[in-house]
Formats: sequence, C-alpha cells, structure tokens
Amino acid sequence: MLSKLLKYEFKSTSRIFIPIYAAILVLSILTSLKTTNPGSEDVLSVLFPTILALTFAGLLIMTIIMVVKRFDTNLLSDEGYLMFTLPVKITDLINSKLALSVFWAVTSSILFIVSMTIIFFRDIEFARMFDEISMVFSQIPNAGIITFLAIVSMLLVYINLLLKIYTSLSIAQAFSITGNRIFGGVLVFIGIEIGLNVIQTMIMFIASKSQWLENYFEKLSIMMSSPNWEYLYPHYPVIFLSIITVILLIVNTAFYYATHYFLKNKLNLE
Amino acid sequence: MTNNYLLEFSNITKKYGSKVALDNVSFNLEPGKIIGLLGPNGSGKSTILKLVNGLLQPTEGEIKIIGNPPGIMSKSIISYLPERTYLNEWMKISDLINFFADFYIDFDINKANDMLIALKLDPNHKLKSLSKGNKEKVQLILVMSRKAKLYLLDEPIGGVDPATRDFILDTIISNYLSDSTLMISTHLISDIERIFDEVILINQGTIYKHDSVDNIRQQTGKSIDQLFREVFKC
Repeated sequence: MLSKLLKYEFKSTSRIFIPIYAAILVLSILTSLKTTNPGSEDVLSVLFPTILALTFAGLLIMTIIMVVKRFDTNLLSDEGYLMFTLPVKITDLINSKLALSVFWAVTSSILFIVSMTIIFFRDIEFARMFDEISMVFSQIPNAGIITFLAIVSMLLVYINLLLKIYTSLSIAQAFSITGNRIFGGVLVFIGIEIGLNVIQTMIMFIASKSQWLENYFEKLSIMMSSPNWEYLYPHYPVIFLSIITVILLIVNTAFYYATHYFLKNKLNLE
Repeated sequence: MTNNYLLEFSNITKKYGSKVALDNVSFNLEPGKIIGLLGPNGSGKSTILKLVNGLLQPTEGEIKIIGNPPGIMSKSIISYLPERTYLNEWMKISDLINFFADFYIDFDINKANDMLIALKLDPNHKLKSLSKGNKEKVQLILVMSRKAKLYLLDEPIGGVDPATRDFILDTIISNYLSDSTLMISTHLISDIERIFDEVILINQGTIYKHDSVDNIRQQTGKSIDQLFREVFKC
C-alpha cells in the first residue's frame, strides 16, 4: 500500500513542483544566454538573474509550505476523512508524506546545481574542478566517510524539521488547542523547541560537572589548536559526525513515534 | 467471538472538551439490515459514525467491528460516506475511481462507471468544476461501488433535490448486497423511511429508542416520521 500512497503523493505534489522546476530551468538558460555577450548591458541581463533568484527563494518557501499544507490538508482536514478510512497503516501515511518531502528537497538541491552549471558552464573548467576535488579527497584522510556522514546528517536535520512539524500538527489536532490548527501547531512547535533547549542546557550543565568530560574537552582543544589537526587525528571528524548522526537518529525516531501515537490514538477530526 | 454482531458499540461516551456529545451509548448491529440513525441536528449521529471509522476516539467505552477495534481490518470492510466532501479538488472523476480501485480490493469499477452514466456525470470532469450536489453524487457512487460488509452513510441525501433523492435511494438499495448492513443517518425521515428495517432514535447524545420499524409502528400506531416529530418537538 505504501507504493500506492507514494504514487498519489507524487501526483499531488508534482503538480506544484514540476512547473517551478521548469520555470527555473528556462530562466537559467535565458540568464546564461544573456551573459554570453558581455557587451549587452540591458534590462534583461539584470531582470533574468533577479527573477531566477526570486524563483529559488519561492521554491524554498514553497517546500516548507508544502510540507505543512500536505500534512494538514491531506490528513487533518476534510481530506483526512478519506485518508484515514483507507485500509492502510498510519506509518505508511506518515512515510509517504516524509518520503516525498525528502524527495523534493533532494531534487531541488540537484536542480540548484544544474541551474548554476547552466549559467556558469562557460566559466567553469570542469576537468580542473574535478581534479581539484579528487586531490582534496585523496589528501584528507577519511574524506569519503566524512562526506557521506555530512550528507546523512544534513538529511537527518531536514527530516528532523519535518517530523517536528508533523508532531506539532498532530498534537494540535488531538487537543484542538486553538480554533486554527496551523496556529495551534505553531504554538506546539515553539513549545517543543523550548523543551529541547531546556533538555540540551541540562545535559550541558550536567556534562560540565563531569571530570572525565572536562579532561576530554581539554585534550580536544589542545588537539584542535595544533596545525593540521585533521591529519594528525584523522578519526576525530568521523567520530564527531557519527555522534551527531546517532543523536539525530534517536531524536527523529522519538518524533516519528510521537506523530504516530497522536495520529493513531488521538485522532480527532472534528 | 460467540455473537455474530457486525458492530458492537459498548458504553461509549464522547466528550469534546467539556461538551458531552455521546453519553454512555450502547447498541449492536446484525448483518443484513438497513438501519436508520435518526435524530435532530447535533444529536450525535455524525459522532457515532466517525467513532466507528476511527476518525474520533471515544472518551470511554469500546467499539468492535466483527470483534476487532477500528483498524485496517475494519477499514477494508466499511464503506463510509461522510457528511462533507473529502475529495481532492484537482482530481478528475476518473482519477478518483482509480484511486478507490487502487486502495479497496472490493471496489467494482464497472459498477461505478455504470452509475456515472446513469447520473449523467462525465468521468473527465474535474471535481473543482462540479456543483455541491454533483460532488455528493460522485462520493455516493464511489462509496456504493464497493462490496462492503458495512455501509455507513452520513446524510446521503442532504444536499440534493427531491427528484434526485429518490434516484439516490434506489441506487443505494439496488447496490448494497443483501448480507451487508447499511446504516444511514438522516433527519429527512419521510423521504427515506420506507427502506429501513430498524431505527435508532438519538437525542442529545443518548439513545431514545432502538427497535425494528414494524415493532415501532405496531406499538405506537405511528409512522417513524410522526414519532420523530412528536419525540423531538421543539
């Protein structure tokens, strides 16, 4: 059933994203053509890049609005009467929303690279760029793992935002906190942020009392002040990113199950 | 399970905040019946149907559909028509038919297409361009094209004109399977009374009467409509 949900989620979200993507590609090509003859200083050579920048800004805003609206409209408003009476698991409903939100974020990032390449392809010496990149990769120890972990943790940070939004809206609908569900969701979101901050501060406070940690940080600061520390201590960035990844995984799992709990046990479509 | 109830609704209380929508309501439904769920506006009819569908959670009490709480199993055998339109505005009628066929194994595409023709609805029309009455018809077609065990229809004739009402009632009766159970909530009783086997009269969150139509007529000498008007007189 997940594949069917994904299919419909793709259909309803692609209606919004495909036209924006098309507009960005057309604008990128127009901008690129305009910049080929440097002599032509007309309105269009300013206008195209401006519109392009605005479209990208629009895409970013659109993505966040889409995340909120898809969850709210499709699951918690009238359409929820259909979605929650389908014989599908609640996890599949969440997964389909989550998967497509991640999908559009990834394709938007790729589109950004494509768009920049179209605009600047004459100025970029691709061969040299790849040479340099591979040189950096060969010099820094564990560069592959570090890049991988960095991308994974970036994705997890994005998923963390999505799940926080889902949890907030699910709690807001369960208790009808305010007449307006999205406003209620914003209040819960702020509450969650404050809660997380308090927990973080508490952990830091407790950690600062620990002798072992103090020694560890001391060693760390000595380590990082030495030149070429990343060569001397090649495991440090990997360990650091791994810890971040694990923490994000734990927090995200908690938010995922919170969303699931409130949609399964506290659904309240009034 | 020793009993053969299709739906067991046991000691259900539902509160919205401090407002009590249902107060300790219990009833059971057997297979193969058409039941009228009758009551004035705000009496708790929609709340009952939403609880059975798992769209609301009871404050107290227990709901079982063939022995199981609302879940994937119950959703696959219940065909529910809510009192509002839940359809994606951007979809075409044909998209919706495919959507239902995708998710419900018991959905009969041919039946749906036949009903579209009978009600003169073009499958290529977008939902956005349909009138409220036509949207309700599309929804009813989708719901009645399933071979479900339990149909729950919330005000299925509320938004359509009297001429169409008869057609819709005929559609409902001719399309539901004889071993299925059909529960229809309405306050337009005179139009629909003729099809009921049983009625549940509900007022202010409590059940006033749950009996067969024949019994009620014999005992009171009144039609359901007359009884309703008397009981719920303002």
